[in-house]
Amino acid sequence: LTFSRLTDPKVIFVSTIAGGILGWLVPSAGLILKPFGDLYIAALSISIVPLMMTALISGVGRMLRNPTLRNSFPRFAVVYVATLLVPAVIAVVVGLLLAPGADLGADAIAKLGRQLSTSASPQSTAGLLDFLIAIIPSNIFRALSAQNFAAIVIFSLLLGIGLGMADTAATDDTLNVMHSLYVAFSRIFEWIMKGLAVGLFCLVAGVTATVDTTLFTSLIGFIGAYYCAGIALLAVYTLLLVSLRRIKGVRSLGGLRGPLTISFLANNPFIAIRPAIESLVNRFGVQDDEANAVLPFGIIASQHGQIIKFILLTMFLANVYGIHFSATQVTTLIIGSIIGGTAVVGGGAALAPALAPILGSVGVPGDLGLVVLTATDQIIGPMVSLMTVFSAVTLVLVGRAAPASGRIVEPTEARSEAKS
Amino acid sequence: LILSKLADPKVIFVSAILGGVLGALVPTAGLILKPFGELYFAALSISIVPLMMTALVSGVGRMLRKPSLRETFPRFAIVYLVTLLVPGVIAVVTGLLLEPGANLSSDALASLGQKLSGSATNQPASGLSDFLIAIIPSNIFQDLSAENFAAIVIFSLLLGIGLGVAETPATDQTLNVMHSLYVAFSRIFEWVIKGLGIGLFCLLAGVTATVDLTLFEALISFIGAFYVAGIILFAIYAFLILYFGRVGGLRSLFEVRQPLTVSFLANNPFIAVRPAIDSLVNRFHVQDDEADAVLPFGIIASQHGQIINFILLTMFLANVYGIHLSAGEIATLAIGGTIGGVAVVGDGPSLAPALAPILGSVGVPSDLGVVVLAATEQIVGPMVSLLTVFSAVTLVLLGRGARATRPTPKPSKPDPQTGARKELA
Repeated sequence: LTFSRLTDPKVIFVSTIAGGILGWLVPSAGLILKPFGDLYIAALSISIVPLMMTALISGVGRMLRNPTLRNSFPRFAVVYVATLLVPAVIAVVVGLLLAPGADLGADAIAKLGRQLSTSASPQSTAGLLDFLIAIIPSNIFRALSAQNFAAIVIFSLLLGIGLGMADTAATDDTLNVMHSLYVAFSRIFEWIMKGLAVGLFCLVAGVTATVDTTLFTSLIGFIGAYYCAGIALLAVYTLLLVSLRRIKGVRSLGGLRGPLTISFLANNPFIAIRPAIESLVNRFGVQDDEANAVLPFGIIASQHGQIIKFILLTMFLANVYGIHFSATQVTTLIIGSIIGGTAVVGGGAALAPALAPILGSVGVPGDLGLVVLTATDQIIGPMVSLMTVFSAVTLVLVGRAAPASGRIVEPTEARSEAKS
Repeated sequence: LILSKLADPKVIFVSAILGGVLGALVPTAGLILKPFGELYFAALSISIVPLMMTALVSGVGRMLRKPSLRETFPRFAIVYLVTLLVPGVIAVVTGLLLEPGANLSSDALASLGQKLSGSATNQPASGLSDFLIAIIPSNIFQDLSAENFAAIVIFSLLLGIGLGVAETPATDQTLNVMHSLYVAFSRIFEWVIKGLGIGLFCLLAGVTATVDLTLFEALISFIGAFYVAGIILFAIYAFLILYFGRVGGLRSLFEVRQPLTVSFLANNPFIAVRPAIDSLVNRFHVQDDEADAVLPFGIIASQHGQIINFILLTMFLANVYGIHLSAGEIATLAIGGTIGGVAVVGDGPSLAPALAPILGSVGVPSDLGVVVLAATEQIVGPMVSLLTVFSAVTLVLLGRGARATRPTPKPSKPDPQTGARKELA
């Protein structure tokens, strides 16, 4: 009974807020609780990489061996490429309308400058070729060891396609073994998820006890613009899903509150893979293999929140430095951020090497980029994670094969269909 | 159509030569193309380790479960041990006849000495026990991550043998799953290798744009002696294959030209694993499981080119230092070079720790060893790779089962597609 109560999204939300308040009011308590939160997230990570790999391999492989599902591959590709433009356009419009960084006070600029002088030296810039070499799984075992998610996804996709097209007597058995492993890792994940409320209580207490708020006021314009663009993106995708009749109404999005809440509160989209697949299958009637194949790919390669972040951050810095963008520079910024941001790996300061070439391409000095990335990670990161999950879910729902009857599946109906 | 033309060995060869010429004539273009070549080889590497592992595990396991194939194991062991003697003998004879470092000019000696003072510090020498510890897969996940090929091969062999002798209801299924994974990785490899012509064009343009030619003149006699010994080894194995390998006439040897060309041009024997297995199965009608089990093992453990490299390099340095090797020392060198070189891992300066004990065993100072290894890597390396692949192919063809599943085929028209392998009944 206690366990089932602890997994209720309302309990999770309340315990997270309580943890945040505790860490803020009693920082010493937050500092004591922080290691327990880290411990919980480490436990939760046990099955994330194997879960993602086995979901992708068995999902893609089984999709390719199923004639009906195989046909939906081109549609997913079209939806994936088309939706990449949405976050970029939203970010540019919000950046032009709100002009974050244009009217910073002298105090705010002084704080930024002071932080710059004490910040870690920026990491070396990496070009597009370095980025491509880094995401090619030339040694999958090294990529697995280093949690190079993009390389793991590419490898798993290739292996799934290879198995889907292999003509041996045991190919179906092999894919079934992969699926069994996926189910086993899902079980492990589900057991550990039961402690999410306690884990997030500790984690968020630690975060609010250690968060650096000195820069908060000088960056409030950027953070505000970011959340505006994020909410606009969510609204556009919701509208898209409703107008394409992929969901019955805005209320049916309630079926996604589990994965969205978790990714936001834990500041980690990978943790939401399993809950999101469950929601898609049980609440929206998506076929198992479709969800298993496309959702993990989307979590890596549809990081629309990162695209928005890169564009708005560049525009914020341009405003701070008083640089005016031409139409060509805005186009360059859009293309660079889509390529650089959509499948980027890492968060906070680790994003600096991916951001540097984008800043460089439009002539904005890169020094402050690292400072802003580090200072805003705890506040912007959760929204980035949530948008990544929502973009991946949108990709699955828009690209999936339409239900046979052309009608929208009711949540309860879908659940019983999935069970049968 | 374009892709199938790109995979034609002739197109691959021409594009590699064109890339090399471009890099030599316009080094800036070579430097621009180099990262694209590296990108291509990173993509080509995606399936090499999993391909080798699954080929070995499923090949050895399935071989052991077939009574007819199981009997060929002792023959492979004998062929493997006997052929180990060949490169050592050839290298010693070539070294004694040509004396590669005996008459170096004072200019050549000066450029070697200059390079020595500016070279990286020597790596510590490692003995036989260190070598053995390094190739024992005490943590297979660490070895997989570090691409410790020798350890991966030993682990895969052991797992294949373990599965081959395991008596559980699901053993055959497990081996079939391994085989399905092997087929899937082969598919991935086939897709990527279609771009080999372009990849090699970029890579070789980068290589010739950056190759260090200053030492080339001083080391030309060593390089010449190495190529002479290599060609002799190649000729002897070709003769053995024609005489004992039941492959038909001389022309049938052309059927291995693709794996040999690929390994030479890419300076990498592992890339040729899949094309070599294809040639053995499709052109020489070696049984699937035999080729899958023995060829990857041979690529690791039959590096006959490295044996020649180690022995000739030691004799070259002995000549440079004016050291006369006695008959006993030459015998020590032949044995040490064979043990140290046959399954060594790495290339260029990273071979120095494996070379040092060999040089030490015959009293040759090891300081110049790393210089010569580094300076000759781009020129000697391709031939080492080619000899490794050819030695492994020789091992398979000489050791394979006596009864062929079908008559020896006439060499068919070369198939430009690497992926045309037919499933054997």
